[in-house]
Amino acid sequence: MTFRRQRALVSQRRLGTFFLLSALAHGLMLLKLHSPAVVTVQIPAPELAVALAADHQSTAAAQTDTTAKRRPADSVPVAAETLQVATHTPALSDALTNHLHSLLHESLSRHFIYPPMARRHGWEGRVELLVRLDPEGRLYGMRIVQSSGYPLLDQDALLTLQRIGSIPQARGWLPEQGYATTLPVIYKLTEG
Amino acid sequence: MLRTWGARENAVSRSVSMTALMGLVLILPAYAEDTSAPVIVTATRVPTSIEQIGSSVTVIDAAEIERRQWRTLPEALAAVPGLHAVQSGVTGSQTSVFTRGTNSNHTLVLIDGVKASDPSSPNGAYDFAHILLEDVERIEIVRGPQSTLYGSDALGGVIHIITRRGRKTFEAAGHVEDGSFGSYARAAGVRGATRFVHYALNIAHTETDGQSITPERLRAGRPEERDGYRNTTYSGRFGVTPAPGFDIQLISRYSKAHTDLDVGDGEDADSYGVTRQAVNRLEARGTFFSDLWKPLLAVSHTWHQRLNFNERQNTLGDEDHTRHQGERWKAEFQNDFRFNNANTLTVGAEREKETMKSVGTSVYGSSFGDFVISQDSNASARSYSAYLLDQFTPGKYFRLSAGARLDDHDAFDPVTTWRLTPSVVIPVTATRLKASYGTAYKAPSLYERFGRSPTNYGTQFFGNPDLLPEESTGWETGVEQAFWGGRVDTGVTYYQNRFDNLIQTVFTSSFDSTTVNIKRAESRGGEYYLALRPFDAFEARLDYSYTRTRDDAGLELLRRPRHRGRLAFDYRPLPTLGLTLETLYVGERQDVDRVSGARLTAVDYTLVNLGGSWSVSKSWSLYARVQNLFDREHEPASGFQGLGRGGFLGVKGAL
Repeated sequence: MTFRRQRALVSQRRLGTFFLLSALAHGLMLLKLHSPAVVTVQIPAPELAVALAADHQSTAAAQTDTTAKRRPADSVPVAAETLQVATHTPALSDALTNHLHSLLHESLSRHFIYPPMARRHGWEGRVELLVRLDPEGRLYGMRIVQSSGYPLLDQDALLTLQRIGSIPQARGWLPEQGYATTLPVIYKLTEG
Repeated sequence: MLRTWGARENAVSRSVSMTALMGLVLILPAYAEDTSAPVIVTATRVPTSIEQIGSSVTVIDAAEIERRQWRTLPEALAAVPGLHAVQSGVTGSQTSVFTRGTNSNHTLVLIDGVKASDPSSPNGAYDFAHILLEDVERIEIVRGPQSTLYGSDALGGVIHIITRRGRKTFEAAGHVEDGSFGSYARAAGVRGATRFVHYALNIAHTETDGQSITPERLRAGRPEERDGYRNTTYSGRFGVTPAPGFDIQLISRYSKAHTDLDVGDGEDADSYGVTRQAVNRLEARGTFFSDLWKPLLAVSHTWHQRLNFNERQNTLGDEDHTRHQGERWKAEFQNDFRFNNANTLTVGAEREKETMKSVGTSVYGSSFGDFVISQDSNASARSYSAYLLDQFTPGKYFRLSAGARLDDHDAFDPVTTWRLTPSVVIPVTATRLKASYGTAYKAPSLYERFGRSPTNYGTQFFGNPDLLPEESTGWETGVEQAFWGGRVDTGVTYYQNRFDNLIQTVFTSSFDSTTVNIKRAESRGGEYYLALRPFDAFEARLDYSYTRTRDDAGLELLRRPRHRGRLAFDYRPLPTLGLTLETLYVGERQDVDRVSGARLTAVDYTLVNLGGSWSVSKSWSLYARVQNLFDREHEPASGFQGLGRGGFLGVKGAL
């Protein structure tokens, strides 16, 4: 019977498979060691240094530059409060802000998990949170500035950020006054 | 890319004297001036079909199947609350599912919308053993009476297996796995889609030498013989999308399984069965008048063949050469009319034809001489159905579905079933209240109605063409509540079912046997779950099911444990490393002795499964698992032992 003959071959085949698996595993581990994928994506340091230097040397230039990029007044919710933030977080160069944003994005996004109940009921939405970092990279004083309409999603976003606690990678990049930003968290269900 | 979300420094602030604002610095700002790139949290949508409103639903998706390393359907179903899957032995052995205390032929199984059961099965029960999960996108389990949407068989619930479909991103994946009991598995598949075409093709093969089905206590000096299994499954989905909102697809699945059996009361060296199953479906879906009308037109075909072989070992030995073949054709036309956001009406009609054929003989040797049963059944039946369902969302929180269905079978009076499910979902408090009340039925199987099995003593089993359908009425109510941003998710459900006209085989005064509608039964119970996620890398889930059953003689129904529990942990210490631990508990239950047929109380058991997976790179991962970690001896069905401890190791690659 073919089945019986196949069984006799099984042990041989298993040995073969073991070697194959072992070779594959070793090969993959070696590959992994040299893989460029492990290197975190960073803004090239020279560019950043130049940007920072420019920021320190000529504040006036930066000022005119940022004036040009100013957001329209209607998108600023509370003028008085905006003023406070601005002093709290002094103007940073675009390059530095971008770098901080990508750091934030990288270290925060992998912690989010879609709440199962929200998934079951098809709840989606955009939560905006105020995220503050002290110079040591610790997250503090976070709160929701724009609700998604679902308290479950709002709470999830806030709790996830609180759980993360700090972003050590940001330490060297943060100004001594700390840094604040609005972080939108979008909960979105995909088809199929 | 990130520059678009770049700094938005406010020049106004600079012009204000710093000293004047020194005092304000300590006041916490309400809005930050710049906005970061959004964090996008995604998950695949769980499509809520109409039958899920107000019902208890469990969805097992591909991610969970992969995480838990489930290879066959019985393994996945073991994790579902309210269900009790009984595999009579090892991998590939006959598997029955008892949903909420109902009988094994009271759960409807659909594969991509096609009714999967074998029309030649004596009582219409589905054998869950032969479904490999490699190509499965998700399994939806809806509990409670569901005949209104699905017709016959859906008394306890519906298990819907949905296979993968090609998506925009091209994917090619495969895995090899080896392990205990001389097991190995291979699978490979490709999927993809262009604007007009989508395709998915998958081949999976699994093979194991297994372990003896017969426990040591029943071997009676006979040598241990391993009962192996092998299964090869080919599946594919090909579709064309000539215009947006219009899709025509062909779904095909074919599997061939070879199962070693231990028939009779003990070890049997060379008894085996071959099961071939084919499922095909051609469907066209459309969306017209901006979602107002969504028609579905489908023709599906199921084909089953079961062969049993057993050569005679000695004069007292058994012999078996039987062949059972079943076929079903079904045509469906369903229409969804979405009048507005608050009201969707579903109208549908179906036509079904089932045929079966059984031939061959089984010989049971004894010191009194041979007892020979011949199979001589050849039958077919037709039915027509029409149904109407309405999904109504009058307010913000309240949802209601109501429906009725009429099934006209050629052999008995038309059957009417109906269903009413109110449900309240309150997003503010993250609460869901659900309830459902409905009826269901099961048409007698072709064998029960027209089967014929004569014996060499001049007696015979003959079907009863006047059988009535088995009927049930059931209701359930429950609540689900999430706390702490969904990190605590809990729910409880209570249900009751009543069954009437249950079919049983009885002996007549002439020692012939036939089927009659004489039994009644009831079941009631509860399901409880608690899911916890104290931090993002760790998850724990507890499921507990309580089931009480009683037939009209006041006896508990067989193989339905009163208590059933599961505790599962998922831990991800590193982004690339995942660990799982699962504990399954099956409580005491009534069963019958395999040799004497006497009623007994089977002992409870606990199984522990451990698994781990490591993503070596973006496209490669290694995984391993240990099943039945403590090598617990257990008999899911009395006299048929389950697998002992086994370790498995595999590698998976994907493009």
